[in-house]
Amino acid sequence: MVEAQSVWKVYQTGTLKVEALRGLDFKVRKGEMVAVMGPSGCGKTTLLNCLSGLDDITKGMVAIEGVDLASMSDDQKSGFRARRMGFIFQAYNLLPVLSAQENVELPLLLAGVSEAEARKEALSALKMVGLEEWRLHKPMELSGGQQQRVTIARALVNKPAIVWGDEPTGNLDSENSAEIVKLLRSLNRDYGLTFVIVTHDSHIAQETDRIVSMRNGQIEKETAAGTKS
Amino acid sequence: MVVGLGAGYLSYLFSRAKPTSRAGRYSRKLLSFSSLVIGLAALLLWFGGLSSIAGSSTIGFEVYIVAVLLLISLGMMLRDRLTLRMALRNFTRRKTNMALVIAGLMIGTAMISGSLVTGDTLTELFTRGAYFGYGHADEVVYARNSTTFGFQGSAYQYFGYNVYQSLSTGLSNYPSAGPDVVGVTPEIIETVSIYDSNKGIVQAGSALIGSFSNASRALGDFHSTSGSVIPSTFNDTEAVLNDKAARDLNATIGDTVTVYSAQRFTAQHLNFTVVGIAVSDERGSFTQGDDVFVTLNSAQQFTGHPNSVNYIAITNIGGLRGAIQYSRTVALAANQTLDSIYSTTQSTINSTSIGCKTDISTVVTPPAIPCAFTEKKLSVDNATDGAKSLSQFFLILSSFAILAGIVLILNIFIMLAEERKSEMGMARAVGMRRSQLTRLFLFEGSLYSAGASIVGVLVGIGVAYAILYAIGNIFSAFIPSLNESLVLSSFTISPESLFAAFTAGVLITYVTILLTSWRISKLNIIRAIRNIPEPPRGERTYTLLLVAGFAMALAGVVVFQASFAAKSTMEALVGPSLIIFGAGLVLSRFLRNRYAFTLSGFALLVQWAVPSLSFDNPLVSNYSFGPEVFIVGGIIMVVASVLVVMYNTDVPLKMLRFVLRKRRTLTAIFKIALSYPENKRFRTAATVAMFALVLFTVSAVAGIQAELNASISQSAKDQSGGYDIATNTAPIANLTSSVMADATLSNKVSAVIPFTTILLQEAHDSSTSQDFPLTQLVGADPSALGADNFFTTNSFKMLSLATGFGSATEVWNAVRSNESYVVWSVSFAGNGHPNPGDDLVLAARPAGNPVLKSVRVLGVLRGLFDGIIGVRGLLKDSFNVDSGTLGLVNVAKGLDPVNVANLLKKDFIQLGMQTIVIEVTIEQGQRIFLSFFGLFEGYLALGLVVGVAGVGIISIRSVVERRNEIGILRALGFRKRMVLLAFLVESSYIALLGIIIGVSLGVDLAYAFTAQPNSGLSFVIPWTQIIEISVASYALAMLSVLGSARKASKIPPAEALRYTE
Repeated sequence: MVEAQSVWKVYQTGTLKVEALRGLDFKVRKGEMVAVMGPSGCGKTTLLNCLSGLDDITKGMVAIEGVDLASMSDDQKSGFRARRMGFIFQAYNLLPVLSAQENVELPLLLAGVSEAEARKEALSALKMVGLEEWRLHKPMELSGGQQQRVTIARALVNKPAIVWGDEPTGNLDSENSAEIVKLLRSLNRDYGLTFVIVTHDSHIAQETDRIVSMRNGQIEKETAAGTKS
Repeated sequence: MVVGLGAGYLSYLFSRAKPTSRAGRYSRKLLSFSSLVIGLAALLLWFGGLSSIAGSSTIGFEVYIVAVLLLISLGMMLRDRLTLRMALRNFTRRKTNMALVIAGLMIGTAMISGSLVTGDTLTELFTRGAYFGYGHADEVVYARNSTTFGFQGSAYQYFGYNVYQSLSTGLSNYPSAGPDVVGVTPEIIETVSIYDSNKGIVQAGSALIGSFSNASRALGDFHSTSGSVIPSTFNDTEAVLNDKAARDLNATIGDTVTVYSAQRFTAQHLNFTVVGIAVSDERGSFTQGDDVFVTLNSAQQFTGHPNSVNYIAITNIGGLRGAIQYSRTVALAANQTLDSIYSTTQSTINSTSIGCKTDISTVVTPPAIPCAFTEKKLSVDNATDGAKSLSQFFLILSSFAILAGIVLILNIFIMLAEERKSEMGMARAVGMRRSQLTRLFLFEGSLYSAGASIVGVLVGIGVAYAILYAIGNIFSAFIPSLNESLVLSSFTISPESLFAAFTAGVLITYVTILLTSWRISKLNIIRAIRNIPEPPRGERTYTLLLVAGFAMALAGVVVFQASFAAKSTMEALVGPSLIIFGAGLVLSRFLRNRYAFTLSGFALLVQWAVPSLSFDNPLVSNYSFGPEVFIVGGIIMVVASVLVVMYNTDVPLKMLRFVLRKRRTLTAIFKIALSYPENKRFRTAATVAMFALVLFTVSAVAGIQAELNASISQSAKDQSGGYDIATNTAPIANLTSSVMADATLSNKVSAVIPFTTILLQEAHDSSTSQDFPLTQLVGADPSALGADNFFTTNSFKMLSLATGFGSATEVWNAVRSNESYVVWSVSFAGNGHPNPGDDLVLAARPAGNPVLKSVRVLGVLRGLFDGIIGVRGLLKDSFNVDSGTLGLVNVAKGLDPVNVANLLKKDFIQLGMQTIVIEVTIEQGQRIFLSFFGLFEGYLALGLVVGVAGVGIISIRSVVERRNEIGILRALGFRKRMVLLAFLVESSYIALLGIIIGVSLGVDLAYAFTAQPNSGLSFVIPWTQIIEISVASYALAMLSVLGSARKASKIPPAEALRYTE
């Protein structure tokens, strides 16, 4: 599903060079749920951004569904994200001026789905995350857990091949976190969705299929979830 | 004493109080109001007495207030250095932002500065004409001739040379005025026609000025274009022309010019050799016309008045400009001297004994004896007033841009506050007081305010220069003698104007920022930190709005009631508006805001946009009406439209959605783009209002200009009365036979209508007790045949008719048959006139004896001149006048009136005939007037900078604000182009709303202008101009947005997602 070979990402800040990813190799199989863990600044989010095409790599190769991201233009990458990817962020990152339903509709409209169809699909996605009743509320009128559910609905509405999660429970309490993880896991199992989740939370990591531990821009080790690292 | 002791005790208590105690809290609370208290005390001090010491001028007050504000600000800054440091750092935080904010804030100051500097320059330009027109003739002595008058030169009665001698001696011996007088110069001034025999060109309506060669001592020398002095010791066959006359005659030194009288029917003429051409400076220009200077002896010989003069110039000390300060004293002394020379005469109206006026503040109603008049001072004062009026008009025009600028300031600071909301919340959370937060913005705002005012003043100077350049273009296109460089050389900047503009700019910005800062400081700490939007207003707010609504409606009733007594249009129209707005506030307590404010906005719109309910409301037809009504009306209409639109944004959105239903990607872009304006309602409304205000004024002026332009030809036809040429000659009994007998003109002239004429001392309206001094009375022959009969052939439009008369024909028939009936003619520039049906007492001194005649005005027409039209019998029987100077001529079909007018001038040079080709002259006057409209339009368009800056600033701030959201959109699949498009669509929506509202309301106002009774205008929409204005505004707005939108689209998504401000 996702294949990264010898991926380097170097940030140049003035005279300072920061090697965020250093020749990293990484693979995700279809239907797999992978957790990426590691200390702050180890390159977890950078890895996620590079794999999803949000950021360009400095060296190496990233392919999704067999397509090399480097061969795609910016517009092609945007189109690919609209059709095949979903994102769940720590800060929810919903558009504050749109209602929950409109936020969920957006990827569908971008993928060229008709407005009526988009509305129907959005409602169905919101129903799936238990927020049908809250569809007309704006993000600021929802709790953190509810906002994250809307984000999940948005990430899933276009039936993506892969969902990227960057600290999806980072802003939530333990109860809400547990519910979200349960939801993600059930979606993975029921629909065969592929998940790559960056997290600090070992409880979440334990719910995934595989845990990838990073340090200094490299993968330190990979363990199957449920085993002690 | 008791209050003082009490205050002292309280101060003692507060100073000793513990910070946590009640007294300590009160003490801090009082201290936080100290700036306000000091400000109020300063105001009290000014109005309580300081104004009488420092002078109660507006500029003095402005300086005082700015100084007080400066001191208060300095005091606050010194007391609170931490806040000052934060403000300074915020100020310099983002250089581009700072430059943009200053650019936006400075527009208001630039407009004020531009208006005031334009005033300075126009004062210099206009008064220069007045100073040069009279030169060193600081006071002039003459007696006006009642039966002879010219188009340009006035006709004066002759008096013995001994009068000059007595006056000169009397003045030099006069204790209070003698030391102020430099010289007294006897002169002869007569209207003449000049013929240059070398070039074959005639110039009618020129002035022959005869004086002694030693007149130069008092009146100054003639100067050639090279600057050298032209000797004034020329002989009796030599003459000096001024450069204007030389240009009109194409004359050069050595040419022979023949001079014919335009005031007496005589074949006598004199030849002169041109020995010099003088520049039109203080000596070479008399009333800025064509002048020929000769010796006094020649002039006496030419006019047939040996040992006589008709004009005496008195020269004061003080030089060209400083001399007029002595005018009053010297003229009074001169008049008392003249009164002692002549026996007093009877007033024609009330039979009181009068001589020369002791009140010399006016030149009207001169008695039959020569008197001194302060014409130069009056001319300078009138020129200054005229320049000030024009400057004031520019300032009034600026008011919309200034208001738009204030809205921009509000918008900028509210955006700055939104941007810093969470850090302000944090600052409050760690202990910063609300007052400190206000000060934080106020300090920063003060820096912006000072910076923007300095830049604004400088930009205003540039604006004023551009205005002057445009005025120079207008003048030089119509008046050949007034070239562009001459106009531009008048460019004057007075420090007072610059300072006034600076202080006004600082005050406007400072006060706006103060109010905004106070509003911003009332944030909720938690909501600010977590960046949560404000909750919907509670019941308490709506109860307050209910009370405010009732108060406003009550105030509206009071204002409307007061309009009946004050007869004020403003009060009559604003009263109902207050009631409607108040009703909206009251309704908001019971209905959803959308319904309450849509209803009241719509009602306000109907009240002002329907002309018969506002500007053309019959209720206000006789009420006072000034430009401020248009300003207030415009503002109310714009506010009402913005209210209606902003509370119903879903309507255009639904329409757009329907239109774009097939373009799915566009639907996503539009959804995003239009959600922001809908959610940031105040910001959007303010920007839309800015755009609308400016576009409203520009399109209203464009519309009115187009209407006037379309009406020029018809209006010129209406005012010409159906005649081609007006002639002015020396008094002649039968012009018709003379013209018809002229072989050159045979078959070229189809009608000649001569009038007998007299200059009335005054016409007194018995019905209104109003006096119309120096009114012209003309009489036409009621039994003239065919085309020569004025009463049956004229097509002048009657503005109003006396009761009982249904048409102009009925009025003319009545005037023809009754000597006591007349019609009042008012020219394009004239204003005051009696009402139809009024009885007038006409007063004149045809042969030195006072004569009174009562007549009735049956109609008022818009015509060529200001005066009264009756039958010849009225002038003959009542004033014994049987000749006249005015004639109307129609040329044969297919001939050019300009050619015929030139032939008339040449063939009747012995009569000193001057001609006016009526339609051409009227059209030219109207085109000059219209050119000024173009200038006004351009000036108003400067306000667009405010709108464009507003959109640009919002866009730049939006990119910063929404960086994270841009990242989300890019992550969700938005392409770069789509982000760019979303920003452009959002700005387009705001700009287009403003443009549509502004242009629609502007066109509506232009329509109201035509709907006024007797406007004589038809409704025209200047589509090309409106499209140009709209496209230019839109393009500029998009240009200001493009940079930031492109920047937004280029932000890498990963970086945008990481971004937190």
